[in-house]
Amino acid sequence: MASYFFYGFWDWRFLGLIVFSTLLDFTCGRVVHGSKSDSERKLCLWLSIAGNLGVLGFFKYFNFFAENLSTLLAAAGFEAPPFVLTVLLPVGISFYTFQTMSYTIDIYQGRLQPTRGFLDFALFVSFFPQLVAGPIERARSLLPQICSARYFDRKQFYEGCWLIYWGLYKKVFVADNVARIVDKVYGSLDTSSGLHVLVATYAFAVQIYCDFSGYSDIARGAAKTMGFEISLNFDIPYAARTPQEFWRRWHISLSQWLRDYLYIPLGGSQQRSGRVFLNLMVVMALGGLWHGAQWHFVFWGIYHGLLLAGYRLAGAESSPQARRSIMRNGFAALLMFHFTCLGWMLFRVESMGQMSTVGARFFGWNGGWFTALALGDLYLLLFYSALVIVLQVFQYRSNNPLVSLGWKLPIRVALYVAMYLSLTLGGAYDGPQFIYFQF
Amino acid sequence: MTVPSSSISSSDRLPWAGFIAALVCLVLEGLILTLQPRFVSGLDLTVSGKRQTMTDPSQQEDVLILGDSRFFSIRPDVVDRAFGGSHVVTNYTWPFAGVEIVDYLLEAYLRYKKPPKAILVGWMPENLAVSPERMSVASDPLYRTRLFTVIPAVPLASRFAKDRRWELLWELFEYRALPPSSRHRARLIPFIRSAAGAGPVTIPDAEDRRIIAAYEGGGSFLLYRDEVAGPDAVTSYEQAAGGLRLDTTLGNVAPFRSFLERAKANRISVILFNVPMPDGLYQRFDELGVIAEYQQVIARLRWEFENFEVMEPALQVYPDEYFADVGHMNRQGDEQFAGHYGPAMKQWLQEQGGPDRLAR
Repeated sequence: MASYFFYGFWDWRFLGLIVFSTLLDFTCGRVVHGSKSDSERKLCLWLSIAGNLGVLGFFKYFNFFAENLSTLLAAAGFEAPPFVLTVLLPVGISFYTFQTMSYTIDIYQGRLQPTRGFLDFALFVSFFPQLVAGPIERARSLLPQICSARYFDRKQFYEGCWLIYWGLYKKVFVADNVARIVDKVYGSLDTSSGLHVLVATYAFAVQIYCDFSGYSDIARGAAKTMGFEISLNFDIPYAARTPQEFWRRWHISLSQWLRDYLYIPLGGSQQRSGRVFLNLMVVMALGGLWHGAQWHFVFWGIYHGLLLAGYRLAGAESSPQARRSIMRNGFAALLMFHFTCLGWMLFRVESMGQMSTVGARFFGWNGGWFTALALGDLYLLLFYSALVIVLQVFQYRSNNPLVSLGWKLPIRVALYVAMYLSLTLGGAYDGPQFIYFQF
Repeated sequence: MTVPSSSISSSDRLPWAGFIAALVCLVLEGLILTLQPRFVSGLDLTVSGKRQTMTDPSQQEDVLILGDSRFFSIRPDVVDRAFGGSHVVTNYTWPFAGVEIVDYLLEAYLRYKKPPKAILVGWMPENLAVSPERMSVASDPLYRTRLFTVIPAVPLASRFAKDRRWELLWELFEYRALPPSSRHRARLIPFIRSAAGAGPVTIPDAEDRRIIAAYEGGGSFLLYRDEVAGPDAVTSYEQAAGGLRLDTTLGNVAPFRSFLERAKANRISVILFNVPMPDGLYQRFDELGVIAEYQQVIARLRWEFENFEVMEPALQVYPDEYFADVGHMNRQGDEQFAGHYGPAMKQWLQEQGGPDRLAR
């Protein structure tokens, strides 16, 4: 009920979609498990996939495909009247449809037993901390926690409180302040210098990371305070040295979903190079499209597919455990960070047309690459993100995202007070909503 | 990265760091609260002084003056003399106090004090008959903030709940829940910098000192300004407002009617008092039909409410050079007006048969 209230507070009319998704997969899951007929099992699996993707497609992609079809027909000489639906995109639809779909697929593949309790399943679908922007939880991880009794664990509660506090700091102090730099530059590309575009792109890398991982931290923290453990969604992604490692560290729950339910069924890496290349492109393009019904997201996905394929072809992929010198690791991470930033340009622009302006500015084709104003914004970016950078260095070195909880008392007190003052004196209270809410 | 199962060495240990940090933050907030009079703006300081008077039951008033910043300079002693002397008069005008705020204010006031005999309320045609999205609590954050700062939280929250204005109730909660460091940060940061000798801005600044010096007992401000509005002041004003047009919905009349009903129920006479307006703005409003609409609305309300009177039904129009901007008179205008309203009020009250005859 709390989860439904939470979602209904935004717009109660879309609660029907969650109920539909819940009923569909609860029923399909039970039939898939109970039926001895393979065709019936398959039918239910496809019913679940079609139902969830149908809802997602209608609300999120209908206009995109209709507009593109109309353009295509016009190019071929046919005149098609534009047909656009004016429907609101339900918050979190991309997350909970993927979550419920995975439940039925897991049962079909024999990796999961269906739950008997409808209310337990309804809570799994609508669990409010992660309902609107993930992480996309797997039923085999969250459902057993829902079904079993929970007890108050003081340590887990403290960790939850810290994660909520840290997430709030990342969102309100870092992401939303840094967003001003990004919006200023990307909102006036015609007059921005190349250096300013670069600084704004760095700023966007910080913004999107702190925004999304901030939300994930709050979600994990809120879940922990209630005795639930939900999965880690970000693991210091800008420390990645290769694209493969980046996707193991960035939006982990989506990467794993795409890997398990799309990449591996397509054949994964156990194929000839050409087929692997194609699989990567398909998966990453669809991953891009998952983010939004716009071409620049698709191209962002394809760009990452190319990066994955390129590193693979060059033999530069390595396991994260590979031992290298600090210098080589540092250089590899710095290079990967810049490749990621190039991708963020595609992600941040509002259309592919705008991307050409970004390119022209960034590479200085229009002259005036350096401006002092850009340096000022770079210092501002460093100021806002300093604490996150420092803490992440400690997290990386200790391999522990909760490393600060083990620090000495005076240091922790100073950290908490500094975060409090940063939030009250410098927090951006009129900042935008979480970026991933729109997906 | 594997998530460690335990990151706190002992699960029995209390979160002392959190407790101590919370205590430090509380002490810091207390310190900021104590220092608040040294860094808030002159206007906020005087507004908070007025608010304290409003909620003090030991200071019982006979006459209230309500309205917005254009009525700052109405002096309680002048009004008292017009009423025949020995009346307690307080000027409760606030910047960005629209019609709705006046209604909320009277409701809150009556929680703390006995009803006054009379209320002088000052409007201009734009308060009641121009663009509904302007000067409204629902659409203008400035008006909302003023409401939250002027009216005590409890009566305001209960009014929002009664009117089912849940969004405003939530916003009030958000505003009140902000710690002092956050609510005053725009002034606090320059204050800390100026106290440390590092800031380009000194707090309090010259304008703060001017406002504090201009604040008189009884709530009036004698904030004489020397600027003169330029010839394109009306055009700029209209552009800044996103265009002016006649409010055919008369959205602000409903709260004024509610205010008059409340006054009537408490046997309070309400006297409307038109502040002078610049000739240029008058002409523009006349073109838009605002003047005629305003006068019709006022005439209708007079007919409906026997406790409602209009002191000078004809709008007073002053030359443009008597104004610092389209809303506020400059020194020349203020001096002209100061010489006018006392005698005019006295004469009008005598024509009504004296102040005691007002409440019919």
